[in-house]
Amino acid sequence: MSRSKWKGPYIDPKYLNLKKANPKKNIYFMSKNSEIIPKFVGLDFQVYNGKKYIDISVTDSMIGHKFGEFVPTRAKFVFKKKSKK
Amino acid sequence: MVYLFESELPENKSVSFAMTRVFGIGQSNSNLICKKLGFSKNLKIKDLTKEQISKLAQSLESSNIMVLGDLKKIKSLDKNRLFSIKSYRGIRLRQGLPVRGQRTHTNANTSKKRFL
Repeated sequence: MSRSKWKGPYIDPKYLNLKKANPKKNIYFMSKNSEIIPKFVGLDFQVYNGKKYIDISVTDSMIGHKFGEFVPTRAKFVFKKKSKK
Repeated sequence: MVYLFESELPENKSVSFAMTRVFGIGQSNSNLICKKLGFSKNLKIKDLTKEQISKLAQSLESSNIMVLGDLKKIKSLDKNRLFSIKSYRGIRLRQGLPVRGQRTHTNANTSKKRFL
């Protein structure tokens, strides 16, 4: 079920005031479950995927999606190569 | 034979059912159109007069329902957008795997079919 509209998009309250948080650098550590709003366009984020931080630069067409959509959390399946004896 | 939006309509079927052959028109949409034009459910395609056929085509064009090329274009644009921003859905669509978290150990045949 989708989130009700009167609540608005969910954003982690830590990141609502971006300018106060880190004025010099453009990189912020973002939670995966918060939504991308027009305010974030043009900024660079680092998002944790469970193992390491992944860089995301937000563009116009990403608005309305969540940060977790751009951070794959599972390794891609590849067949093991046989070692030569 | 009656041709409507590049698709053949079967002669021995009722109008409301035969309209679903057109890409983008399902049963609810075709029922709505038939109600507007006053076609009964027993009216079959072979019994249509020329005026009624032209009315059908006109009512489809004037309504807001998207059919054929426009629909296909929008669908492919949406898929390309998802892939260009490299979202999880776009990547899974390109790989031909299920998008909404279904299992892939077995099954997942429908999404593979769509990929081809």
